[in-house]
Amino acid sequence: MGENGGFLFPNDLHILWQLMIVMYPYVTGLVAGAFILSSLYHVFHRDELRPIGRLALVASLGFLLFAPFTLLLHLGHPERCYNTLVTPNLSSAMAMFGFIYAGYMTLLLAEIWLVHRQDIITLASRSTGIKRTFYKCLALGVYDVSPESRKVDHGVLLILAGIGIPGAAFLHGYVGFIFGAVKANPWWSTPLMPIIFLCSAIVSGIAMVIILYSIGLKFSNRKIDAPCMQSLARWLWMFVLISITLELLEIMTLAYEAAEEWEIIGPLLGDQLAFSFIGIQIFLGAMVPIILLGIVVLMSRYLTDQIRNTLCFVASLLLLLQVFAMRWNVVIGGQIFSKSMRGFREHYTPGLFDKEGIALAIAIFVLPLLFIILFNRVLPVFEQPDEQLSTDTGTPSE
Amino acid sequence: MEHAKHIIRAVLLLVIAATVFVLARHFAIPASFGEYGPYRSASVTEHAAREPMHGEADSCAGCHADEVDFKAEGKHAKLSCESCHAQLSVHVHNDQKVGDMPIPKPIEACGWCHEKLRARPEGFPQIVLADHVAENGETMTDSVCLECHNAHNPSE
Ligand code: HEC
Ligand code: HEC
Ligand code: HEC
Ligand code: HEC
Repeated sequence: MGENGGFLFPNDLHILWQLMIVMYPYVTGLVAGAFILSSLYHVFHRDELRPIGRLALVASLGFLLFAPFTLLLHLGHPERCYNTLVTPNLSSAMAMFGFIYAGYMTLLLAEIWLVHRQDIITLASRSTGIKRTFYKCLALGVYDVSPESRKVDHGVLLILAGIGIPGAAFLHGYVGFIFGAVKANPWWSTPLMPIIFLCSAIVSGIAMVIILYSIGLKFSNRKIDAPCMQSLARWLWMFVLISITLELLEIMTLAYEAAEEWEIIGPLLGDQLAFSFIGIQIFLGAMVPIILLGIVVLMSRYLTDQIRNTLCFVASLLLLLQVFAMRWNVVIGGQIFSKSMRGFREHYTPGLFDKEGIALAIAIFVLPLLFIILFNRVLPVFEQPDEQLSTDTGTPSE
Repeated sequence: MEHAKHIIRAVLLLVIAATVFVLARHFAIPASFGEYGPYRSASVTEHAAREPMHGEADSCAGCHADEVDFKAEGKHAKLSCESCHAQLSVHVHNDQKVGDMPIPKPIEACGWCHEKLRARPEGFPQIVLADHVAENGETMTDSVCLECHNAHNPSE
């Protein structure tokens, strides 16, 4: 038996959903957020976002590939995981994972393939040997780059991205739903949960793309596109405002209603989670970036590129932290109080090298970044306008 | 359509992948899956056929009447013997002793239920083990609790 006697009472003493379950909504949030950002360009034709159109998709794929690792680590027994994939069903939010994950992965791969198809063909015709065969397979043996074929690509891309937006909203809304549908837990059980999760997912996705874009261009010695950064800042600002408003609205409703659950949620937020909720999720993570981004959006005329880029970069870092804190406060916060409102358990601190420890959480965060670097070796993540290597299929003028 | 050749190939690839998946699924899913719901219904019968590990409330009484009667007089009357010791199956099979019954270290076992925890009901006797031992002028050892309490009838 464990430290407290295993099955002996009381049984809401243990934190069963640990750090990896904090990481899971965080990573899938990055997937959904980056994807929705990419569709602003591919579907809604925000042309100023063209420089990050591909990066956002590839980042989304990177995080999607590693999102299941969090669950595998949490559950253990990775050799059994195929069971969820072969037996998806609609009767449980968790068992829907198979449908949602496979569908989303297919969609994302198809979209990335279409966006890069011209490049694949160019690379196939330029290279030799095994490399050539590889690119040829990627091109599915078709070397058609005619304007007509691009038109077809563009049409299909529009449809895919059109399906993808509700798809991304589903992928992440459903993660929020898993928490929102736990009716025994007053801190989780709200229909607002999927929407809150979705909005903060978009925030984290855009913030992530800003950071990857800034760093990526720094390493390839190219200049950050000012209109693109300006537009990213504007979208980010809007979504932070929506997201933080919803987060606060939910709490204000709880506080104002002052029903019996407030007796425990009040002290939970004000006392137990004071640092991660008030300190990070509200002040450092939200208020500060809102001001920084506000400066970028409202005073853009007076800013040099360098100041704009720095402000955006710092704001994005803080927002990534904010969204992480939000996930933490939901997942861990929901487990440190007694469901019969008796009080709190001691605080939970993840171990460093545990199965659900900090080291592995960092690894799961870093692996997608390595994937993006690797991907960039095979296919360019940033378009190369000077070389005219490709003409993107997403531009509406074609 | 002549410029949609790549799309047709991609769709074809997808159809192949889906077919492979459906076939693989056919072999990967155990036979009785889905009979009554999204689970393997044979597992219910398999579990029902297993031999129970735990005994019943009075399954120690036949051989340890002394301990059982003694325990019934005290505050631990309602505890199951197995919650401190272990499941009956490690000890007895077909009314024959087959193995030693573990005896827990009191300093750990008593803490399972009595160590002070916020989540426990207030009325339940809880102590901070180390403080309690110090207050009573003893030093912590594995079986210190038994100096003053009997495990089966703690007030004795
Ligand atoms: C609160 C935990 C607890 C419960 C409940 C409990 N025991 Fe024990 N039992 C102990 C401990 C501790 C010892 C070791 C006592 C000692 O060394 O004096 C022990 C010792 C024994 C022994 C060995 C006695 C000896 O003198 O060597 C027997 C037999 C025994 N228990 C049977 C039972 C039976 C039968 C029940 C149920 C009626 C029971 N126990 C319930 C904790 C418990
Ligand atoms: C079929 C009779 C039988 C039953 C039923 C039985 N025991 Fe025993 N138990 C024995 C015998 C025989 C011994 C060894 C006798 C001795 O040395 O005094 C023993 C010894 C023990 C001991 C001392 C450690 C050891 O293994 O020698 C403990 C503790 C104990 N039993 C606990 C229990 C508990 C708890 C239960 C009920 C869950 C239980 N027993 C049920 C026959 C039984
Ligand atoms: C499986 C849980 C459990 C374990 C293990 C356990 N106890 Fe108890 N204990 C209880 C319960 C239940 C009561 C009765 C509480 C009540 O009357 O409200 C109790 C009562 C007591 C009391 C009497 C308290 C009073 O108010 O008079 C003492 C003393 C005590 N236990 C000591 C011990 C010691 C010493 C051990 C270790 C050998 C131990 N307990 C192990 C559950 C446990
Ligand atoms: C030196 C003697 C002594 C030792 C050693 C000792 N106790 Fe006690 N314990 C007492 C006395 C006397 C009482 C009753 C007076 C009281 O309530 O403080 C008591 C009371 C208790 C109570 C009931 C407390 C309550 O609030 O009703 C529990 C539970 C208990 N002891 C558990 C333990 C455990 C577990 C250990 C071993 C870590 C232990 N005791 C060691 C003397 C002792």
